[in-house]
Amino acid sequence: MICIIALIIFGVLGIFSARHRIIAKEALDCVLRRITLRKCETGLDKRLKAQITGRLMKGYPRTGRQVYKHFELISWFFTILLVLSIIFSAQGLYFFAKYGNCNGLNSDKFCIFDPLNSLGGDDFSSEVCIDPSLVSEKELSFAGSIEGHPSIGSKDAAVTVIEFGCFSCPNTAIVEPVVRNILEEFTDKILFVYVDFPLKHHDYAYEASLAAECIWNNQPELYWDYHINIFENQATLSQEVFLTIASEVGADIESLNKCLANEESKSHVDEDFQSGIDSNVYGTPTFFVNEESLVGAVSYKELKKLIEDQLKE
Amino acid sequence: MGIRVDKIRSDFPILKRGFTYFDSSCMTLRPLQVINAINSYYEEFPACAGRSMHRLGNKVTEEVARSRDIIRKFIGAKKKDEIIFTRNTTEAINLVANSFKFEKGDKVLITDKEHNSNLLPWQLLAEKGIIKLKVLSSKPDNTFNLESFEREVKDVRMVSIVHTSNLDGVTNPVKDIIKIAHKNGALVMLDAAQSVPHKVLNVKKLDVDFLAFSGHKMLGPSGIGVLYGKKELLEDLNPFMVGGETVKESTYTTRVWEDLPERFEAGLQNYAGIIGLAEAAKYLDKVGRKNIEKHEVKLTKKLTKGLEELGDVKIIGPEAEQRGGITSFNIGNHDSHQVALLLDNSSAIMVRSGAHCVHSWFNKHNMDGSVRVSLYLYNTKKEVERFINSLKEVKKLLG
Repeated sequence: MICIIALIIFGVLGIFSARHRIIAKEALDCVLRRITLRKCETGLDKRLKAQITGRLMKGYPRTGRQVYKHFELISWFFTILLVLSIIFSAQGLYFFAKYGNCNGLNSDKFCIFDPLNSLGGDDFSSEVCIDPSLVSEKELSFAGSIEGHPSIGSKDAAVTVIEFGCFSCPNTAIVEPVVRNILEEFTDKILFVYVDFPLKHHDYAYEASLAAECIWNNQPELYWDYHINIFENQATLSQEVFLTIASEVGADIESLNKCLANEESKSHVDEDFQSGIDSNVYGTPTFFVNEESLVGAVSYKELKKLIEDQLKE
Repeated sequence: MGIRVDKIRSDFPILKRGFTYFDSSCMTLRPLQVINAINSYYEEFPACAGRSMHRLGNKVTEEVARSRDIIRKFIGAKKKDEIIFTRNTTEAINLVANSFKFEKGDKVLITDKEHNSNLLPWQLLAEKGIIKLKVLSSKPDNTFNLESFEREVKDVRMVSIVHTSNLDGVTNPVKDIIKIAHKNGALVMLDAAQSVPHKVLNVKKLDVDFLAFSGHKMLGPSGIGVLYGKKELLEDLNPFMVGGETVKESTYTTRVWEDLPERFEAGLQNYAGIIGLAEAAKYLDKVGRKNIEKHEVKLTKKLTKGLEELGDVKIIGPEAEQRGGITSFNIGNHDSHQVALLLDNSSAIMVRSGAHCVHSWFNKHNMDGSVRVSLYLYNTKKEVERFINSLKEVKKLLG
């Protein structure tokens, strides 16, 4: 069994060093002979056994004796461990290449291949705020217009990213920093459009969208400050909080109150929601990147990859 | 007068590394004097001997001649011409086996404890139908059976036997063997690889016909060995390996063979090795091989006592006094390689394991091999004690 471990370890080391290549060849010979129920002729198994137990004997004679006695069993244990770790590593690499996280889709666990989380894997989650009554088999396809919505970037940009979001949806709030980072990285390359999709079962979702709509219409330069602040204070949203935040970002409260009471403003929010329904949106956040769509609190890497793919096209 | 081991050890730079080297029957360590002598050739006169007339060539020729003379004295030979440099003992034995003018059906007698180097050359000749090979069994205690030899030697052309066995350290009674052999008209060839480095040996007094030994087993360089032969016998040998320096002159169809010893030293020689070998011989003479032998026997006795006290240790061969510096043993039925590897890895003690190139003997006795401790002038009592303690641990580990 020890020869199998040696073959794998020295096989890898042998890529870089001729000395280890020789040992790997010995190990291979040993493994092939053992498979055919013959005795290992190179003596590698004996050498490794003696080297390991001999060194243990220097400082821990009792441990050395136990290891020697149960060497075959220990070898089996480590062989199984090694094979399993190779399988999991390969799987991790595959996931890393495909999803940007070695633990697979929807995982936010630590990834050894990206220990510093430089690719933003830890915010990876596909959690969605769903309105069950809207769930259908229909394919997501943006059916509205990008005009009149809060947006950042040039209208001539090759890629348009449309987000259907709800101010009361925790997943929309989670994805907000991802959107910020994306906007920072792809400035001048994309057009980002935010469309209100206030989910009915979320408290203050509609009111928050209406307030944001009013600010966008009255004082568009204050909109994104307000937008970010709403998400940051999502846990304490109330009519009072809307006004306080509006006041903090410098909005004209009087005209805001007027706008909130205005039916036309409400109809804009309703139109936004309808465009989501027409696009078969069933939850937030939902992204449309040109023709492609993504649902849920997507990762930075995933959104970035989709944008890059679209930019290449 | 005994030997001062501490003084000797200071001549061996490698011993500063702190390991214990108990494998001198395979290869000895080299003192600084020998290393310097080898280096002197490469640094000061790295040229050809016996060919080039320039000053470096002359210097090498002088050094080789001087070395040959040192070796002659070292084994007590009469003439310098009787010393032929070979690569090692194996080549020297092959030279005799392949050059001696055997007549079809001649018998060659060997013992059952021969190294492959003194078995295979004769085995091949026997297979070719040139000779008939007889193998003499040892006594149950693995010593030479002189009575049996007296009976077997009667119609033998050549007796080719080991002087000191590398298997168990037993030294054969060669003086008696040679006398009996000569009385029966047989020549004697001695494999002296394990005896020349450890005992005083005089070929003239022994009246041995051929004798072979190696440099690497006597503190000398690797790749150099010696064949001694009585001049009249050497002159009668067929050429073995031929080429540069083996002829005085040649035409496209004829040649005039060179005199001894060059006739058997084809091609450029291992000059650094020859010079190093002479320096090793000088070193051994300075320490005194009688002293070395005594030192080895003393250590072997201590070692044997320690091994016997361990229990379940089977020593191959007779009692300690008869085994010189060599002790071959097995612990129960445990694999000898495993014991050797464990000693090395746990305590940096180096011993030989396996069949020691005497497979035939191990096969005869249905054994896989043995652990062999071979001591030399640089080994100490403390090292033997350390070895016994380490072996005790290894034995516990093996269960």
